[in-house]
Amino acid sequence: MPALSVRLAKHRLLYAFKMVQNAPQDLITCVTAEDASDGGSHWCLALRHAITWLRLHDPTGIAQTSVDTTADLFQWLHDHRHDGPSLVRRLVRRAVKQDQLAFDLKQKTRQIYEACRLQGVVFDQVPEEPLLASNSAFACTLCGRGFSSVQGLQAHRWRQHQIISAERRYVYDTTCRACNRCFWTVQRLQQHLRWSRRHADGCYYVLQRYFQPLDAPARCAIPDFARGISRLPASAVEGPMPDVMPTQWQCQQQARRAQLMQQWRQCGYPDTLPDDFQQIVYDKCTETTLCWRQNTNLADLCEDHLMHQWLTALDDLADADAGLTHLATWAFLLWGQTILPDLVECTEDPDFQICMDNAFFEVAKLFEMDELLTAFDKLARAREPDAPMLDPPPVTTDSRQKVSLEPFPSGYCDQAQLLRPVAPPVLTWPDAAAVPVVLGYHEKPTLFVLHMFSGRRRAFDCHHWIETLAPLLLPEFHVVSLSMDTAIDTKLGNLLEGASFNHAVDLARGHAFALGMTGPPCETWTAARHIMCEELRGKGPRPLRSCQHAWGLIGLSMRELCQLGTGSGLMLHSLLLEVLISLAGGGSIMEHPALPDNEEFASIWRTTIHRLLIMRAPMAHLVRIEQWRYGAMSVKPTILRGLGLPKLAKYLHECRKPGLTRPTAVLAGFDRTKGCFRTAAAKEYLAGLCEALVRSAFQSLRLRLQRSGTKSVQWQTFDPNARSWAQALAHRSETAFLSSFLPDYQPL
Amino acid sequence: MLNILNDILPFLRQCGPMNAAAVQLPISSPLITWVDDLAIPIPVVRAADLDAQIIAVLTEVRRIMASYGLQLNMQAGKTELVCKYHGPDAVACRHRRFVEHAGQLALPDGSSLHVVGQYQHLGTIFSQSMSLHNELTGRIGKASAAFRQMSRAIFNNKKIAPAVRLQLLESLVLSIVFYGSGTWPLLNHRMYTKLAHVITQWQRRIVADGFWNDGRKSDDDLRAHWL
Repeated sequence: MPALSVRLAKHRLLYAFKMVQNAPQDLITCVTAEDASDGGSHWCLALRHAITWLRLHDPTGIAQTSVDTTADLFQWLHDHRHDGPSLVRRLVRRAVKQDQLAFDLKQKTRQIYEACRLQGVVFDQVPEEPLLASNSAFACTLCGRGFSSVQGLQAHRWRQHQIISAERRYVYDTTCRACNRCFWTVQRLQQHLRWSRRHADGCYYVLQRYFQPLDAPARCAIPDFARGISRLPASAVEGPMPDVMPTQWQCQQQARRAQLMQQWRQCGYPDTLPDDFQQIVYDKCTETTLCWRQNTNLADLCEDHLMHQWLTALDDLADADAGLTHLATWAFLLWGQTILPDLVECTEDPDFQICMDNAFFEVAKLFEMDELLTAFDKLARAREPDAPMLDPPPVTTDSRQKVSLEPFPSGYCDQAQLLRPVAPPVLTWPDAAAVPVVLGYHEKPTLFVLHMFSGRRRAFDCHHWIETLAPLLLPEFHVVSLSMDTAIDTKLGNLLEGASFNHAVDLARGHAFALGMTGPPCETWTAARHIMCEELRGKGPRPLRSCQHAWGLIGLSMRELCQLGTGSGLMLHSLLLEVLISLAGGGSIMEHPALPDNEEFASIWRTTIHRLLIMRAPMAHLVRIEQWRYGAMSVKPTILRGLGLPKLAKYLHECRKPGLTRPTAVLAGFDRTKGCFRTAAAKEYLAGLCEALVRSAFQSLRLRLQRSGTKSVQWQTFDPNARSWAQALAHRSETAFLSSFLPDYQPL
Repeated sequence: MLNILNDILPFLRQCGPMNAAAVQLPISSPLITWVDDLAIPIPVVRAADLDAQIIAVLTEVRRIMASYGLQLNMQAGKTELVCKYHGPDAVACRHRRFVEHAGQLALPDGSSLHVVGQYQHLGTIFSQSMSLHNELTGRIGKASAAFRQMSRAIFNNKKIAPAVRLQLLESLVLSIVFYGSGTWPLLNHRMYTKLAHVITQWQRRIVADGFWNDGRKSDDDLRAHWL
């Protein structure tokens, strides 16, 4: 059932297309009339909202054109009046399907977590929706708490940290000093100032420019007669306007200048520098410098020499009177700031330029007066900034606007958020239990092996190797393999739905399986979907997932969504059974393509459920193998993930076939001669890999049996239906041979 | 009826105050009609002129209809006036109309025209305040009545599969709710929640997944579960 917002969007779009087709003039008339009123046409607004939904579900389709103006909107409706309605209906159906996929994903993930919880895994609380900066528009910079409104933030800052708001610092009484408006309460004035921050030349910025902010809030009592009256009118008074006063910046500069002057006088420096003396010093210094430049060779260039000449010249000038020393220094430093740069400019040789610059820099450091003069120079050159000095207004959105009207469901689009409530973090996972052994099925204790997605029965498949290797590696047990696949039996081997899957779950819950082997279909996950298939002229299968949207991309067709649902369902069911087997004490091994090099591509190994739940199990480890080492015709990098199987990597590597050379064949693209994709050749495990898998799993299980021991379970205690299912499937597994494998996706 | 309309239209076009208003509007206000149902928009420039103009138009319409042997039914619910005063004299006009004359517009022949806040035209409520609230409440009310009427026979009938009953809900009840929804503006939060709640309530009642159910699903999950 579609969500209400989707229904409304659909009705609006269909109505608009119909009107454009049948009565365009009437539609234009109505909308034009509404457009002329305040705030534009509400219907057009609603229609644009509907088009947003269209764009969301069809990212590359017709809704990409801009519809900001009414003319654009009508043009768009007119252009798509024929294909639009069918697309809208199609997208509604897809939206419903996407909702269903999201629901299935949530249910199945919840089922896996619930199974873990029942078997002793301890989970942490699901973290509550964090009220942190990322999730709310207004965050406290001191403690990180977030608020949905600026009022909330302000109240928090005052209560928790005793910090008053930026506006309150300019509230001296109930009169706004910028516009001379009188308010009855301080709060009203504060609101006035906050609203004024929307404008660059609003009252707040005027106050900031001309007035000194307060450190503590000024209290201002309400007159007795005004108490209890909520909305008193404001009134404006005459008064001096701020622009006749010195600005805050000018006051600051003045204070700084006064401070510097005080320091200057404390040092005993003279108040004025006579012009004639200044000129004498300027001439003398210039002459000395020019003389030095003329008489110095490049080879003899030395800063000290120039410094010495300058200092000698200054000594000569100030020799007569000690009071002249300060004047001479002052004039020299001024000369260095004003005349010397010109002299440096006139010098052609860069070595001389650098030398002169450095010499003056060094000399200036010798005089304390230099620092003060530089500060005076800075003050004189400073200009009042045009823009407001402090931060721009944080209020860009009103908190009330945050409620989006007619929100569209986002479960499928935001999968991380969807799964967050059902996937709490794992605290502890119980240690590996004893391996379950079934008594009463056979005269010997029995180990049940559940082989999911085994494919058709064929020569030297896993089933064959289980039958062959079990007497050798596990001689004290009777090993029964249940090959569960629709290729074995469409009903008994169905892992997606129906009674068979439930029976398998029941048996796994009842500790029946000692070993699980699985290789869920990778057709919806594979990175090969990203390869542009030239043989099919770019019409090959599209990627259905990405790393970000591991459980389905947006904009997929109905068929692709169905395929995706099947792929995800099988994967999650496989994970559920594996987790149950592992928690019951058994071991499990899963095969899936290795991580693609591109980090954007999807992989089950990159999903949250695998990283944060499955890999927390004891003895969970990933083993990367390349299948050519086991006899495959292409490299085929694969990851095998073991659960409760110690030393699996070691045993797997021991099973590698010696003497093979790395193949160069690439299985990519479509083979027209055979009418299938080239990857089909690598669909089934070859005998070498089957043997390696079974042998290493058995060796590892034997190690487990030695370490953890066994736990007996009576066959008779299981549900009779489940027992008969297992027996029937075991029988079918032994006999149901097929000549060719089934195609990947089998739509019903 | 077509002849009557053809006679009315020239009169409306010749009306001075209406023409003056039409000049200021971006569109000329059309006659809205369906079989024998007729709605006449009457815009004027000044609020004080509205009453006189309404009386003039109504008198003329009655005269034309009488020439065809028809008589206007002036009872409440049959011929009604929805009026909206704007501009400098609006307050006084409103006071005269709704307080002094108690929502009645006296006609020259002694009869009176009922002034109402909302008017139902072809099942859609046209409200004087231009708000969707009344229309939405009316739609929900009509659909609820339909649901109640059929609940025993269909919606609470356990012999029909829930999926079928949900399908019937779509066609028998939700079609009433969404009639004309293509013209609705964006619903505000309150109206949206109200409508969503009513629909979910019906769906929950059909699939028997309510508050007292232990494993009850969230609204989103319920929608996704029942395709």
